[in-house]
Amino acid sequence: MKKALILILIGIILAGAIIGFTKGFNLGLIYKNNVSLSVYVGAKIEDREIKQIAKEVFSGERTLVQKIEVYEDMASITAKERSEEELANKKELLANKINEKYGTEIKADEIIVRHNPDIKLLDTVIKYIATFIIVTVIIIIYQIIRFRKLGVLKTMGKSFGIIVVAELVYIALLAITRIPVNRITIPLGIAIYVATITVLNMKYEKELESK
Amino acid sequence: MRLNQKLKITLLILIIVLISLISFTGIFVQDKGMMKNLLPEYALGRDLKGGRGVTLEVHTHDHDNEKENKEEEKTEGHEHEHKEPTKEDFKLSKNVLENRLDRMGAQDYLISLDETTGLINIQMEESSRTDEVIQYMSLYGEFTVEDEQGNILLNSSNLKNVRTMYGQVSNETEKGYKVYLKIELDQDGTEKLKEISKTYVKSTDEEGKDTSKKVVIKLDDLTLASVSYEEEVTDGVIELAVGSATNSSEQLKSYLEQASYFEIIMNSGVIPVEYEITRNNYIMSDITSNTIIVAVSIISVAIIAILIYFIYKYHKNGVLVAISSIGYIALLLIAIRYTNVVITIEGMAGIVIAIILNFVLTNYILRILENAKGEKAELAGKFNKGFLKGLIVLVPNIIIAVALCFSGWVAIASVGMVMFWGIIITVIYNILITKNLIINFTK
Repeated sequence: MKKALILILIGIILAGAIIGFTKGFNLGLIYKNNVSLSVYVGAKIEDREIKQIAKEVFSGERTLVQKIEVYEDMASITAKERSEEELANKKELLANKINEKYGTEIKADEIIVRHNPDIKLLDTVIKYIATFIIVTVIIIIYQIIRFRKLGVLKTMGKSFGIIVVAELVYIALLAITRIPVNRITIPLGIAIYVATITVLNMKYEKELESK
Repeated sequence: MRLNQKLKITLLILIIVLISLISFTGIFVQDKGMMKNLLPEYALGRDLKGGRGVTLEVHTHDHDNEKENKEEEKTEGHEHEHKEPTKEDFKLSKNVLENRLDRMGAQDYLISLDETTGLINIQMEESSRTDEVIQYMSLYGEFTVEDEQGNILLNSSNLKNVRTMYGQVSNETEKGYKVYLKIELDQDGTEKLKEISKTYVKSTDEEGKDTSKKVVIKLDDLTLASVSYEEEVTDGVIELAVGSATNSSEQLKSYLEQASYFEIIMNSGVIPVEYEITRNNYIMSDITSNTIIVAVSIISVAIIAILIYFIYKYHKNGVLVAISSIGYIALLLIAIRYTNVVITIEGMAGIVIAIILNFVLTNYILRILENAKGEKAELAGKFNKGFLKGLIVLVPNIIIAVALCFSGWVAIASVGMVMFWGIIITVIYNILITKNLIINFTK
């Protein structure tokens, strides 16, 4: 049973690695290069209303709607990158929808288009990796001291292995399932890390008690 | 059950209800015709509240006016070579900007670079310093020492280190504290400075008129000082005053801030590409209160499921722990407000983690209490045993919490701070409230 589980986990990690290196991850909109359409409405915008307009303009496609400036009278709709021709159509449609909703006379040319480059995921992740490596080392040192009766090398190897495998399996599953990498990805990774360490410690305490 | 015990249980439950009401609904009082919540608001991070969006684009030089610009720049003493920037220049520019942001204490930002056009997008936290950070961060950053004809005698490549210092001065012209930049030069710079100090000396004519030969110290187009030397400088150090001597702590703070920005720019190097800011606006988060309500609802359902499990498995003690857990969650949220912990999406994960760790601890207590008879002393003893066992299991989490608190990155520190307060409250709350609930709810 244990061997079967290990083989499955190795399989998942390898599959994830192959897909990750060949196809990459499915990056969410905030991390991919995208295009933002910013429009000054002149009246206070409700989130619900502008989200509905975005849904209609971009035919239900995933978009990011944000209000700009403290008076909440300007909105920005971020969508996936597209051609200039398609953008021109979207601008026209957006202007019409906003004029319809807010009684304004906005022209398509007044909508500011900004092409945003992709955010390198590694740049973001690297800030976390260094901290968590240090934390992991401190925890493993604690576990080696606390559970020395269970075997120093065994504890160290098991702890390091399980923590690394847990995170690798998580990353691999992201690659395999093509779940978009977005703002919840890293917090979920942190939660898995904490859960792994807690469960590991519970197991060690139980083993120590039985010895 | 004795009257004394009944009173204690009633009091404890009332405390839990009160904490829960305060935490989940707030304490509203009338203030200037409006209802105001006495509880401080949650301090939200950039991803939940919003932040500053800044775009830097490569400054394009108009080719028709290029000759005119070159003439102008020669007289100003600045000659940026208008060569076409490369991909490597753009990457280096991004690195310099990141370096500056880190040194300026920006703890929550996202930076992206278009390697083809050189466009840089920055999303950063909004604070009282954001405007200053943006202003200084985007400076070209070229330090020069020039003669009166604009010939460059020293430049950024001669810089070894720059430090902000301050000291007390007391002379005929100035009294108070003075801020200055201590600019240390490399070996080549030291030799050049030695020559400069021998050439550009203070002098007066027979009528006492100042005929000193001066050098101008600049940061980009900003003249920092115009100096001439009284004696040879051999240590390779330039001391540059920032502002004037003052006894006002506010003025001193302002000069220190300005000097520290200059220090950061000079230490981080020159941005190889000339950028201009084409966008600088406050952008609200796309995560609305509705989204947060949905997330909280999902988490609440999961918590209720765990509480139902406790009640099902541990019966009476499970009910008591379930009631107590609601109070714990309420107290944790109050503590987060009052300690001003910045909540990010990671911080919200930290709240969930803290709640689950509380469940882990209380589960240990409940397992030990499963076989306990109703006597108070025995219950107390078993409670303590379960509590200690659970706490020892949580030691690595205490390590994680403390270590993450020291991170300079707000998202990571947010998790650490929430876990830290979560564990402290778990310990104190379970000893004071949960324990008394369990040991008093006995015949």
